[in-house]
Amino acid sequence: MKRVVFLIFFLFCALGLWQVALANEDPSFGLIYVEANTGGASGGHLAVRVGPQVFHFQQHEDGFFRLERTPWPKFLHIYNDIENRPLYFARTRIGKDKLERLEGHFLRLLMVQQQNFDNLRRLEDDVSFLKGLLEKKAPNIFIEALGLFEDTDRSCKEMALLRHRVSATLGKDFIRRQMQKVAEEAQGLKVFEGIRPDSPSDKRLARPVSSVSERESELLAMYMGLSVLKGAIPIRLDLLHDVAPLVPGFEPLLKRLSKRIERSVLRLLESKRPDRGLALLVEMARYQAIKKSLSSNRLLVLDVFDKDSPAVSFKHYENDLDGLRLLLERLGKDVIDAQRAAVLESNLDEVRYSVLENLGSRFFELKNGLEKRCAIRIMDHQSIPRRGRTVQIPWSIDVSDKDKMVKAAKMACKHYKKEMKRLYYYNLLTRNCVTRLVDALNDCRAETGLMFPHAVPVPFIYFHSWRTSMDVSKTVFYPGYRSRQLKKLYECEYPLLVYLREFNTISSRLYRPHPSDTAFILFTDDVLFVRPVYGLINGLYGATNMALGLATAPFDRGARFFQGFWGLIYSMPELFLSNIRKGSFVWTESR
Amino acid sequence: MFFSLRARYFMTLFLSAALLSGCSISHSVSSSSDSSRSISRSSTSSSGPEVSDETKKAYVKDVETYVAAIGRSDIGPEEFMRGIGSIAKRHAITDWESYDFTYTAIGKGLKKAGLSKDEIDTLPYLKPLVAGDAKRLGLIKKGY
Repeated sequence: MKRVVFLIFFLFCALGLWQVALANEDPSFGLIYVEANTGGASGGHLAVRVGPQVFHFQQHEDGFFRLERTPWPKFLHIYNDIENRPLYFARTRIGKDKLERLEGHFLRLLMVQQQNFDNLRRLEDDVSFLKGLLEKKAPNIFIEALGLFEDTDRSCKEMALLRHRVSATLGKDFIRRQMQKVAEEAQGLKVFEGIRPDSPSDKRLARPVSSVSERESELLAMYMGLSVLKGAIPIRLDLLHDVAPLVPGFEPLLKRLSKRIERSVLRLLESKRPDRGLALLVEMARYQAIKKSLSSNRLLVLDVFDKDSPAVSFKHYENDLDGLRLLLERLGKDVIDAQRAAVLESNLDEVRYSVLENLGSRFFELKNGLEKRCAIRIMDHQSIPRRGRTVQIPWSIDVSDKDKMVKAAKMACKHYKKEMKRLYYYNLLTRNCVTRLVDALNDCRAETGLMFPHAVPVPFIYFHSWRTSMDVSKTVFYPGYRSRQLKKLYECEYPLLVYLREFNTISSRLYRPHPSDTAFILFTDDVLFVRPVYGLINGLYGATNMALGLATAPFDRGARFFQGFWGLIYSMPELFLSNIRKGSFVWTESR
Repeated sequence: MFFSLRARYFMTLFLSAALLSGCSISHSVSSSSDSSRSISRSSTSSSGPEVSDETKKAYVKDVETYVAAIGRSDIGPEEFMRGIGSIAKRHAITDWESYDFTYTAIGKGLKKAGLSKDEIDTLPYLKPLVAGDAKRLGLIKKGY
């Protein structure tokens, strides 16, 4: 009997310990190593997954090397599917408490970084604003979201209704009095203020730089918002995109949202938030878009792209039309699904509507580009519709000693930019995706008590150090998109036939050659012993393209020559059994 | 040996350079406009059924983090609201003032910053935001 009691007691203890162990093993923390591919990815990439987010450092086109936050599914879709790069996730045990601290730490670093870049932008804007003041008393200012409206005296019925509601609730003379109040406030602004910011730090949240141009533009945005409301100005119809029919049940949700926007406009008119002008303009533009959707029974969304958003020209995507058509199809389905999801949950708040706006704008942009064979604008983040317009300040600003002021603003901006370059620069060996990540992890060593391996600037070596020195419970391997699709084909077709069809870029049905993959003919990522032979063939193919490229250079500006050159370069590791190039895809369905 | 010493030396150098250069230009996701892949990347940022939930969660976390970083600082009310507005704008939210989750996130952030519940009533940077609206103050305390 004693033995049985002891056994039960032992089992309970073991079960308890097991549960404690499970509680401590959070599956969503660990290091991610992304294998190399062509383009800018030839050395691999390193990132850390903290809960549902992935944090990693990347270089941007402005030259700054910054911390990024990417949701895990999106990270997988971009790196593992579209870029076709195998990925390893070293799942590491740290416990919930430490995981939360790490997440907080990375979010703080992001916040600090964002504040620093916001401050830099404020200083740059101040320089332009003060330079404008040198030329005239009332310089021009760019007002976000004002460009969504027509530059006209014409009024529209939707806005007239909104104006009536405002007058009925806040008083007939409210808009005019508010405009006067805003103008007085703007005229009373002190211009020479806060152009001596503290030096930025990459660890401490900086004070926001007090920027006169920002305050002027906020007040002017409010003034213009009131003016749009007063004149019941319509939105620009060329910025309103028809993206889909309204799904059944979506119309009442849109009606409810328009009512919410009416209340929001009333609240903004009395709000004390400094950015209320921008919010007012966006809400009024959305109000009109929704009213027009309701009257046409079609989903009409405002364009979220800026006029000068980066764009991919037709010549850069003309070889990928098939992939882009699949993407268009997916976006079209997503627009419908997003409406259905809102109907299902009977909820269409601003966040959901904004997602629809972003989806719809991208869908329309792609459709328009493919139809007209023109440039397609791109944007990597969600955005409010904020097409701006430059307007002259309708009040004068009296400032003495403008030259001195401009000089001081320029100096402050130059100094700040220099400091920012010191904080966010890239160096191949000393400040790359590994060293910055390790610095960031070590910064919170005191908070978490975790000891991370010393930084080695090569991603795969650091990943190996992590696996051997951290409490890694499992390393999960995610094969690239092509390997996964090949595996499926091997399972349902004759393997030899599949291999013969898919081992090269000419007869492959899975892969379509893409300029950024360089000129190559044989895949070497899924073979080992014949890799040098394949590499030799790829090298010869690259060299041939180089030679032909010399002849075609006057017509293609050397595109074929350089593809051949890089094709040859990326074939060289293959001669030594190493592989970098794996091919990539324009679009794949996310898993 | 199949390759001469010089050739092997060259290849080692090449491989090292290639391996190290990886992160250097690794995907300026934001605005690389030289290929159709950037169109795909641009599209993934808004595609998928989970985006609105993710956006809301990320916004809430960011507000918490921002408030926790400010804590007892002598930041002005305008600067504070500008900060929240800037976070909201990054998540494509304009009407942040009307959402309960903004205030509960502020409360959580204040707790993380180590402030006591009683201090909330006296924080100068919060005053204009909660003035005349007891519900907002209540939500902040609820989030605490």
